[in-house]
Amino acid sequence: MEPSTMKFKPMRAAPQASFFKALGEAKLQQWKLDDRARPAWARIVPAIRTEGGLRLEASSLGEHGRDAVVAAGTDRLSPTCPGHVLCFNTLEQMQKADKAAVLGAAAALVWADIVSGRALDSPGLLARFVVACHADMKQHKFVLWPAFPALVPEDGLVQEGEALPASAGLSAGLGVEPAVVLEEASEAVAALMARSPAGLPLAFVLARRDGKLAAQPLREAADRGAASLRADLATRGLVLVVVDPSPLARHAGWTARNALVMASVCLGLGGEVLPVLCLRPSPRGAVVDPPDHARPDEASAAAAGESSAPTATTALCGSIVVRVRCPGLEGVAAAAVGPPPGEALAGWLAADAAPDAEGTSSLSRLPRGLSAAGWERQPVRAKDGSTAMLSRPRVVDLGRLLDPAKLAESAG
Amino acid sequence: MAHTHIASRLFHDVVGMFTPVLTSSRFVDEGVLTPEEFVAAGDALIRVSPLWQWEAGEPESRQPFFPADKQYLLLKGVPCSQRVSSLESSFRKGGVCESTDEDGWLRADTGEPEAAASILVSGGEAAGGGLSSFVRDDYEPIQSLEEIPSHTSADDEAGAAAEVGATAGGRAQGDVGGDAAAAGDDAEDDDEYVDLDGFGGEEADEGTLGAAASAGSHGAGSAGGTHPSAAASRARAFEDDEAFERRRTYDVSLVYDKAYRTPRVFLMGHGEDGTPLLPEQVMEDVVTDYANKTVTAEAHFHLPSAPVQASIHPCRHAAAMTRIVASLLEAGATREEVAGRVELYLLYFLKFIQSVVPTIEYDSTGEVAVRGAE
Repeated sequence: MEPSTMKFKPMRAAPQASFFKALGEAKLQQWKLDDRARPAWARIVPAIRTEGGLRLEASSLGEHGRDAVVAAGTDRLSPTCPGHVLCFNTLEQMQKADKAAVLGAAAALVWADIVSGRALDSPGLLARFVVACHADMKQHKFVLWPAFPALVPEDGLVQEGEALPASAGLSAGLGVEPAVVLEEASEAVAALMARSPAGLPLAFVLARRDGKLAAQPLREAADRGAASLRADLATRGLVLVVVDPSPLARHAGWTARNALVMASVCLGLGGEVLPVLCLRPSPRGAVVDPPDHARPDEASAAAAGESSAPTATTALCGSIVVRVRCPGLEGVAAAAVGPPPGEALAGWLAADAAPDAEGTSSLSRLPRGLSAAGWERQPVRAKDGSTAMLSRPRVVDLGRLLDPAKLAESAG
Repeated sequence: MAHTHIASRLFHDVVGMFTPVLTSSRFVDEGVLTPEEFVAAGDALIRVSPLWQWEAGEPESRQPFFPADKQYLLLKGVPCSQRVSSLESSFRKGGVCESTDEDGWLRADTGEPEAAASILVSGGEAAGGGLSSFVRDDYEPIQSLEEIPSHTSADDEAGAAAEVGATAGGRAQGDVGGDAAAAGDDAEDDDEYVDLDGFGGEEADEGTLGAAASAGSHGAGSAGGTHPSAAASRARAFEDDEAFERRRTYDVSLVYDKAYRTPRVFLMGHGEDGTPLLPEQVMEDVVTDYANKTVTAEAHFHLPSAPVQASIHPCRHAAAMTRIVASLLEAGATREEVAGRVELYLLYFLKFIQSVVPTIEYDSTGEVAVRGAE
């Protein structure tokens, strides 16, 4: 297959009912008419047996800082990422807001995190989001439009060849049995997870060390220097790993976009063809024997000892590998424009969202050579029966779930 | 109806208030759990199926007899591929190949409602069939999703576009009986509430799967709006982006019910578009005999301020578990051996709960051991 512009499966948000309830209460009781952007956080859920996406929960309204928290269960496979909630007072304000400016401002935050190297320590910063919304608390109707800013290099991202299953993609050119490489990679990912209380980071690398694959956090990889990484790449000993919400066999998910820009800028791999493992973990449960009934006391004691450390390894059999040419961004990096520091960040998005007197607001915070994409798309049926994916918000009517009067009516 | 329901919930709460916490094990005799046994069974479940996690819930609703961080168990994002009604109609047509495996357990993917109901009533018989002596995890590779044919379009190719319309409505893909039309109505309702095309923000981006099609068909984008064949690109977008089955998902909670001294299931569903399901939509995933009877909309015990969830009433749980215990004893296990298996309570429990919600694919534990029954 000829090299082609890489196409990514768009991200989708999965807002929980509790998120809407928390959003409505925060708007009514705390924010009131103040419609500045509020900090939020969410989890990027990988494709586990079904499509993943951005999971917004009641606790999402608050500062991102959950990286340090010990995660369990599905959360161990779902990295956290920061974002903003932009709750407009009226639908008209939401309609008139400059969407390109909001997206551009959020993308500029991603760019600043990449250029400054912050994304190396907290890869979740690469999956920043914005949720533009309006909450009608009389009817319990919400208009919700999430955006997932992706940095788009001028020349796009070029894919080399077809996407391959993880086993074939990881073993290509190595002369090693695919199943062996897959198992090695799976163990390396499990070892990284075991070291991290929060579970999987959004992105990391797999590097071949002493003939075996090992997982390295981004900061560790960057500290090795571009020359070392390029040498590994030349011997097929380097793979970028990204937690992937896409369930498609031929297409990577949205999270890979900013990770590839990061690889160009922070890892110095611009112009190189980099294999990307789109990680869609298949949780691999421990094979546990039931308690030995001949010695129930010993069995229960052993079980109690293990209970604090549940096994949470992953299998990679559902993941894919795509080979992508990293964008050359050296010139763009030199022209980096940073966001204002500190508390001004939260207000920055809102300021950009409001058009100025001439009805325009600029995207100037993104350097020349980069643009942004990422407003959530919905499948919309045209009159001729065909379906198109259009950037547009969704309306969520939760009257039956949140309105006390309707709840009483439907109870039983 | 509402008053009956409120009175029932009030009665339950009062009973729970005056029911003493169980301190000695009655698993073998009554099929119930002490709080300590519930925690041990939860830990065992997590060891077998690590996607389950303990949750603390809201602080004011904590039960003092549980550790603060182990109040209830939660499994997030469980896929649910089809509605129970489609299973039931398949069964009526005789289209279901097998409802139970060789050991008598209901299979989630092929279950038939009548057999499901019979397992809840006579769960003990199902457990006595010599299950293998270990528990295993068994997931399918995710890449096969793209190849899963849509169950509604499989027998009607002309309906493909209408089915995508159902996805667009985001409500009822896979429902039996005019679901595409209903979803279309939902989309129209949304458009009546607000002009969704009036928000702007359409962007041309070659890297977005399906973006060229959207810009081409509506002319909203700039660079992407000049595709030579808008119809062809739309078809490609559909092929690439929508040909996999988008599923409902559920968050499944296992809560200890102090009044019944058994686990209790709460279900919070999300539609194919990721937005929360209404109670009546959740009932589409409950076997008809149980919907609005055994399964009702309730406030979650540990999330009282959250929206209501569907809950499976625990009144028959202990009886079903007692039958499983009886079958173990009949198979030759001693009382001590069976008592030693209380840690596996939740594994057995999830098996027979599957009969109420056969299409919610939460059970990744494969077969449950009944060693000694051979």
